[in-house]
Amino acid sequence: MNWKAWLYASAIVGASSFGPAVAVAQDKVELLPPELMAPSSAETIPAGQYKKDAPWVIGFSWPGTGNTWIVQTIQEINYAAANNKDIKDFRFVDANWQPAKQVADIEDLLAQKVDVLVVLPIAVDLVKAQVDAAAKAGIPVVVFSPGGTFTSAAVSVYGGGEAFGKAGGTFLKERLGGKGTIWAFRGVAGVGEETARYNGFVESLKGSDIKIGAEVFGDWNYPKAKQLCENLVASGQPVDGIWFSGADMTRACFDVFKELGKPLVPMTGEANNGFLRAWKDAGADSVGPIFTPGLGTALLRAAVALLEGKEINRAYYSDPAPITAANFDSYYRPDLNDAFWFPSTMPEEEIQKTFKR
Amino acid sequence: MIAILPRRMGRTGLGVVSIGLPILLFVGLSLQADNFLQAQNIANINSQITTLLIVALGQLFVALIGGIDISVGSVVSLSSTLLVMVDPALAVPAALLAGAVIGLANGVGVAIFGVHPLIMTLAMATFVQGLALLMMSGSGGTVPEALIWMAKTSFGGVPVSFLWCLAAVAVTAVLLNRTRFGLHVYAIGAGEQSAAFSGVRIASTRIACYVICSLAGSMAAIYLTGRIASGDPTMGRPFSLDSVTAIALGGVLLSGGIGGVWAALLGTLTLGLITNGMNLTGVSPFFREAITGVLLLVAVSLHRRKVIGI
Repeated sequence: MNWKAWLYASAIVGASSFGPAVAVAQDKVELLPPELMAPSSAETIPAGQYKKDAPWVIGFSWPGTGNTWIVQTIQEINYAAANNKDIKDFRFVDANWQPAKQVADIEDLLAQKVDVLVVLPIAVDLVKAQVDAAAKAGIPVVVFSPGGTFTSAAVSVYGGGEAFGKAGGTFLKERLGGKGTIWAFRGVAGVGEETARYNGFVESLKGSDIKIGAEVFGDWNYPKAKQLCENLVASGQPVDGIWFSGADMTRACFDVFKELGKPLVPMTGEANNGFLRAWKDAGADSVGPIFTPGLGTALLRAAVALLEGKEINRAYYSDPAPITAANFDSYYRPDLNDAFWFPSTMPEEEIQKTFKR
Repeated sequence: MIAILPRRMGRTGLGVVSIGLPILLFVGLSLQADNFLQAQNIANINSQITTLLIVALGQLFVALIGGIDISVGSVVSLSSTLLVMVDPALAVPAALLAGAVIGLANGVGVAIFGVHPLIMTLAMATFVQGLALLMMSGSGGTVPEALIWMAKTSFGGVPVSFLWCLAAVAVTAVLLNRTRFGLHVYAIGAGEQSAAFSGVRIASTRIACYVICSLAGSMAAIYLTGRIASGDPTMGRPFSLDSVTAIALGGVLLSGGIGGVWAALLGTLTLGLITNGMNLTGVSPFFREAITGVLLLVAVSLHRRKVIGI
């Protein structure tokens, strides 16, 4: 079984009650274009199960802020909510990366008797009990999971995390011919998305002779990663490629290699315009795994579909093909600034307004 | 009201601001937020402030002797990982033992070796947080059923979190107001030299305060881990500074000697009401930190003291 098939099988098995070998059902509701997200379970929520007359109150529990991907994703969610006339009240709460606060946020949203609850958890295990409680109270829940399952959620969207890590790992494995030494630059220790990305990366190396020579936490942060990269290069440790949990760290290593006159090795990045600009400028050999900022919009669309009473699959999976040298030009936008992430669900006019360089 | 009430009531730290702020928030939210007064929401607020209250009460002991404990949040994190990683029968004793050892180390560092409390507990915070992440890289683990029950059950409609608060407040009140130890704590905060001349054993009392604070961190972790039903190596991160914010909002002087259980309780309640109120009224979550900062500055500025904020 190749890695992609394994990934799909994991997502389907992970969604526990969906059965071990399901044929993917005809998509009743398209949350994002098929190349970005597809149903991963045959089981559906029957039409009308959660139908409710508009206008609706939608509760959205967000894990925390801190980078441009998050800012854009929130902008896309707000844009979609503001342009849906059936949403009377959109209650967006942010947990500031505090597990206890996210639990409290969800409790507060339930106390407000929201019509549907959307949760993007800091970590899956931290909010399972609250998702179960919401489901028990008859409130449909839509959740995102980078790894791990929510059996009581009406709709689960899987993606990011492991798929992201694997895309980078697979690129390096191919580039290095299955052997060599690579460094791993991880994000912020203890964050669920980070752990999932790393797990996906490690999984992708299985069966190869690639060893991880050095592993550091760069906190997804340019200055910290630059210092770490300088230290690693100065240490003289062998390196044939570098895996990154986030592209700000890749940019830092591009700069370090350039400043020290060391030839670039294959390095992984992500689908961010600023990174693509750095990739192009450095003439690097890289890849941009896609973690679409449209994810939040997809969750909102699932919530709306439930309230509209549409038949919808119970699980979706996002594993888009990454940006490579071959399709680079179809993504890179020199007219937009470095804070723009691909692909967006906002119309071009809105993108120009927000991200014009 | 300001004219007729004293700005500070003796050594309790209570004053117009610390009492008035939560009342103002309560009344305002009752009028503004439809669901605020519902029993479920009140129970939610209770559950949400319990962890912070326990930690703030621990921080109170350290503040009363003029110290600060930045490591208590990391103690929450480490205790949470221990609770899901060791044998369920040993989980609680292991968490409490870890808290006691960390508190002892902090206390000895500060009281015996003369390390500044900020430096000592900051170094300890980093070390303990690293240890927690070494033990567990992300959230998960199996929380003993008994702990979940201890955090989530209710008795005759009264959520158990209320009993946690009640017990924590009662134990702190007795320790501070009904024991010789409590008297010594206030005496050290009011003037260490005078206390020493009066026969107070300074070092052991200070060490005991740090041990109590860390133990409070472990107790808070027991409650929070049960409430979330998951261990997490970063769970405690916000509680170090939030606990200092809570007691300062309540009127506790961070230079020592002034403060009490009610101050910690009202400060915690204020923070809890701000968070809950913002969620209920749909105020952008990004305002929460800013508003808390402004309120803290306003609150401590209105307290009568030599140096604002201390």
